[in-house]
Parts: sequence; C-alpha cells; structure tokens
Amino acid sequence: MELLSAITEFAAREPKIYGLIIGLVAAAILASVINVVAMLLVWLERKVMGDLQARYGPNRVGGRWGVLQLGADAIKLFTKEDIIPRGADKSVYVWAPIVAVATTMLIAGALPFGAVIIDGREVPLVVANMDISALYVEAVLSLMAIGAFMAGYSSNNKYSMLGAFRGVARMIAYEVPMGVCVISVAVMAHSLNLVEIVNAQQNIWFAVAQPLGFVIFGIALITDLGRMPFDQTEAEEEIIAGYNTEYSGIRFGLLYFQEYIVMLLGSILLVLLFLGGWKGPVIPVISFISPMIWFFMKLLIVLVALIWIRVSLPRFRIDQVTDLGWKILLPLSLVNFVWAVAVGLYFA
Amino acid sequence: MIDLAQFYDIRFLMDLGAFSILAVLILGFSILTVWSSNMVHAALYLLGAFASVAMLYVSLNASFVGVVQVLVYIGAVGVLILFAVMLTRRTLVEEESHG
Amino acid sequence: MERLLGIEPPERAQYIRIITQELSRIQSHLLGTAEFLTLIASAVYSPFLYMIIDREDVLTCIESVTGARINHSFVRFGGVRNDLPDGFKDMTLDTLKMVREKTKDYKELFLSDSIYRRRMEGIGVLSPAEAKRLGVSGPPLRASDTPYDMRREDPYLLYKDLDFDVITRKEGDSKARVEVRLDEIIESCYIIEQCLDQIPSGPIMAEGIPKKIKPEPGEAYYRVEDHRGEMGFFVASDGTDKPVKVKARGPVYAYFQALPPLLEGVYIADVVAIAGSMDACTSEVDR
Repeated sequence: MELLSAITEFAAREPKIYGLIIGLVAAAILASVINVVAMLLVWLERKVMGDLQARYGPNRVGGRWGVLQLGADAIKLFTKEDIIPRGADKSVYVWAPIVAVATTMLIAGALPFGAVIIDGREVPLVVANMDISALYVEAVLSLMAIGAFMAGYSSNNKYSMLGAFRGVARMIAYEVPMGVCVISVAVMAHSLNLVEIVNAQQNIWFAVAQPLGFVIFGIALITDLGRMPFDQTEAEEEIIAGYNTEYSGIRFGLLYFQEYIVMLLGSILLVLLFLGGWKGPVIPVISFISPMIWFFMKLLIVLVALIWIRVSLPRFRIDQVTDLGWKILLPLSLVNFVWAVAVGLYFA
Repeated sequence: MIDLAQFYDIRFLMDLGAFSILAVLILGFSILTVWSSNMVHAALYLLGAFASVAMLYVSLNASFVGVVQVLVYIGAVGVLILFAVMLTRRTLVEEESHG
Repeated sequence: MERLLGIEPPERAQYIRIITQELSRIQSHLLGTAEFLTLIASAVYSPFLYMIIDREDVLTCIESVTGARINHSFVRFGGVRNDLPDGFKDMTLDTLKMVREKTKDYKELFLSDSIYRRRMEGIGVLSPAEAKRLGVSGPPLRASDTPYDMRREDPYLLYKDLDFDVITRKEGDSKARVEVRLDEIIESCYIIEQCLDQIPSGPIMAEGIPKKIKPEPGEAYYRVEDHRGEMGFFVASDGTDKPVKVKARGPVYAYFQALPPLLEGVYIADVVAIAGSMDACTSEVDR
C-alpha cells in the first residue's frame, strides 16, 4: 500500500517520467504476453487443423495434447545453422525479420486486449489509448509488406523476389478497401478511438449494422495476414516458400512467428471493430472478468474460423487476387461507406 | 537567452534527448538515401527517414499528422517507390543474380 | 510374355487381374487428384487428406489379395499368385460404395468451389490433334475429347465382356482432366462390381507352366491401359531362358512432352495447375 501511494504521488508530480516508465513496463509485458499467446496460437492451429483433417496433430511433446511442441520447435530453430546465402544483400537480409516483427509489434500497443470491471466501471486494457488508434493500426498494418519485401529482395533468389512482388501488389490492392471499411466504422461510431468504437457497439455490433463492411474487412484482413486462400507470397507449390525461401534458423523462426503474431492481432482488430469487442451480458459471479471472457470467446471463434478457411479453400492466382481487390472489394467498400454515412446520419 | 538552469531539469533533458535522437535519425537516413548507390537501399533509407519524421510529429503532440505520415508516405508512397525501383532494370542495381 | 508362350490364363485369374488392376487404378487416381490438390491449394487442404484416407481403404483391399499395398508383383506367367481371400467381396463392395459416394462429394465440391473453377477452367487447353501428335494417352487424352482407351481399343483380359463407358470431356483443360479421373474412379467401381458378380470359380494358374521358361524365338508386344495411359511391353526372345530385349513404354514420358507447348506464356501459378492435372509421376518417365 505504501508503495502504491508512493507511486501515485510520483505520478502526480512527474507525469511525463511516470508515463515513460509505465509505457516501457507495459510494452515489455505486452510483448511477452503476445509472444506466448502467439505460440499457443501455433499450437491451436495445428491441433484444430488436425481435427479438421481426421488426424492427430502434435501429440508427443508436453503431454497428450502436445502443448510444448512449439517450444521444441523453437529450440530446434535456435540451434540450427544460420545461413546467409552468397550474393545476398547482407544488411537488408539481416534486418528484414527484425523489421517484420517490429512493425507487427507496433500494432499491439494501440489495441485494447479486453477490459475488466472495477467498481462497476469498465477499464479497457490498452497500453496507448490514442484518439486515433484505429487509424494508427490501419497505418501500421500497411507497413508489414515492407519486412516481407526486404526479405524477398535481399535473398537474391528469383522465387523470393516473386514472393516479395506479390506481397507488395497484394498489399496495395487491399489496403484501400480495408481503410475505407475502418473509416466506415469510425463514421458510425463517431470516433477513431478503438475503445470508443467498442463502446459504440453496446447495443448493436457493427457486423450487423454494416454486414457488407464486415465481409470486405474480413477478406482484406485475411489477405493482409497472408493466409489461405490469399497466401500467394509464400505459395510453396508455386514459388517454393516465397520471400522466406532462403531463410533458416532463427531468422526463419522470426518470419514464421511474425505471421502468427499478426494473425492474432488482426483477429483482435476484427473483434474490436465489428464483433463488439468485450461487450456482452455481465456474467454474475465473475463479473470482474466477464468482459475478458466475452472478448476471448469471440477471439477464439475468429481464430478457429481463420484456420477453418485455411484448410478448406484452394489458393487464388495472384492476378485474380488483385482483380478482386480493385474491381470488386473497392467499389463495394465505397458502397458500404455511403451506407454507413446514411445510417449514421439517420440515427444521429 | 538560454536559461542554463533548465538543463538540469530531467523533463527538458528527455525532450531534448528525444528530439536529438530523432533529428540524427532523420538527417542520417536522408544523407544515406542520397549517398547510397544501391537504389533499393536508397528507397529503404527513405522509408526510414519517413518513419523518423512520423515519430517527430508524434513527439510534437501531433499524433494525427504522424499517423497520416505513416499511412500516406510509408504505406503508399514508399511502397510505390519500392515497386517502381523493383521494376527498373536489374543492371541499375549493380548486382548479379545467382538465383 | 504369355502371348509369346501361347498360354491363356484361366478365367478366374483374369478376373482377379482385372479387379486388382481397377483397384489400383482407383487408388492411383485418388492419389493423383489428391497430390494435384496440394498443388493448387496447399499441403493443408483438407480434401487432399480425405482422399488419402479413402485410398487407405482401397489399399487394404489390394493388400488382402496381393499381400502388398502398392507395388504388388502379383501376376505370374499363366495366372496370379493368390486367390481372393474370404470376405473379400463384402469388404470390397463396402469400400467401393464409400469411394463412390466420396468421389461424388468431391465432384460436387469442385463444381461449387468458385476459386477452384477460376483456377482450372480454360487453363492449359490441349486440343485433340495436339494431344495425339504428342503421344499423350490416358486421362489427359480422354479429357481432350478423344475416346481412346486400351480397354476398348484392344481389349485385353476379359474387358470385352464387361460393360463400361470410356469417360471423355470436351474441354481439354485442367478441370476436365481432373474430372475424367474422378469419373473413372466411379467407372472402375462399376467394373469391379461386375467382376465380383461374374467371377467363376476355378483354378488361378494355367496348367503346365515349366519351371524354367524357354519361349520360342520371336517378339511380342502387349498394350494395357495403365492408370496414367497406354502402357506397352515389348519382349524379344531368342529361345533361351533370358530375354534378348525387354522394353516397357510408359505413358508419362509423353505427358512431359506435352508440357512445354502448354506451359508457354502462362502464369507461374498456372504451371502447377497444368502440370499437376497431368498427374505425371516423374520417376516413371525413364522406364
């Protein structure tokens, strides 16, 4: 208690330094939590995929359910030889995985990870509660192609290069409809703050209020995540492994892991923008964490849906992907924008 | 006149430090952009300079401008530049492909 | 070889040969389609694994007769090695029923999947004339609107007694090649069911096969419809117990001959859709 009051006093006296320290601590906690959850996500994906395909999935390391399989994989990746191919652009090659992971982790700072109820008041769990966090997340999402591009360019390999090309072309095509969808949501919620957007969904989810936007955003999100049916950047049957063909050891581990971190964060964004975030009926006995329970249930459903889509659809061709983005999703997202404005004005 | 006493104030030092780091980053990236003989490297340095400018905006309490800087300059302009550079002839990049 | 020796295997042996051959045609087509799916989708695409599971059941049927799962060296001069085991008929009929239903499901799935159709329709069109010129046979040729099947052209074993259709498609594109394969699975099921109905009892080996085979000097050429197309065997003998020349002509070499003209100027992503739909087994090229 003494410590707590001392901290409060310090915070009042030196808000800037306090903010800096709290920010750094929160960022460290966030980074570790995200990494652990993303690891669990890899395990979840393997397990769900196994169930969907009538096989077992990991079942040896870490008990019957193979929970520690990814730990074993990580150790393997750490101990593997780190190869830098001859003719590679060394500095870019080394920096690419770091840039990829860093740009991804930037998103995490602005996302609320659920909320808890203290004294009958919802307190969102967010590191940086910015006024424009939705726009910020959207902006940083567009950076992800750069890490992949650097990896593909520097590997000095035709297939890596093709993967990088595809990634950039796809990103440009889908960033626009995705942004328009985010703006439509912001128009309806009268705010770009993710917490406010969630609060605006107290009565009706935006997935219901603008179903078209939900579908477009979902498709664009899957594309940004680079998951089936939009994983042309690393279509192993066509261009070996795309931009991470030449990577090995822990650098490959980082690139691989980045995909799962971004899958996690992207799903959280979808839940926040369209599925009402942590809103839901208060569960009586454990009302303290009932928003968290709702939030994670929704998140789990979205993640499993993503895995499900992955195992049940064949891959698009890259020109079909960009066609879909420019010719179908972009006009539709504009229609959705008009709809959002009209409905927003009508109810306002 | 600069009040020397304020240099002992840690808040001022923090602001000054943040600004100095960002200034060095912006200038460094900009100079590297111009000096670099590899076009792709130059484009990547340019992205770094854009990102530093965005951070500078945020440190000046203009976070909206900062985010728009990221969205427009890095997300759109920068990536388009990268795309254009990749579409140039390989000999301009002065590299041989082994792939 | 039997043609050279002048031996006619007994009827039961011929039926058993047809049954095992059609069973392995089913398993080969299932595997071929499944592998093709991993090419246009990815290795985690579920129907691929479902087909492998179905194939396991078919393989179990083959194993119960021949004792081996894939490379059953089971045919002997003048007959076959083993008779059908007890309960084979029921087990096979069950498996065939399952395979037929699953195959219909797969066909429906592919027809209703718009991504699949975008990837496959009109891709890698092989015209009938071009296909014949390149020596392509089997499902790719039949997908190009050419009803050419060794089982019909030059009936071997007892195929002339059996009722079956030669599956053809008009389009000649990748989608047609896969569809031909899936339809042939259903057709093979039908053939096996007929065989199981008609199969007579009797010996499985012809009488009077010598321990050491010394055929008369001469040559023999024999064509069969392999899973992937026309398969020819040529044997030349000079009267001793060792052949002068044995040559097997596999169908896959011609598939690869057909690829360069088809692959000219297509997207990289279409390469896998075209090459995969040929179901070309690389190790079979050099026979």
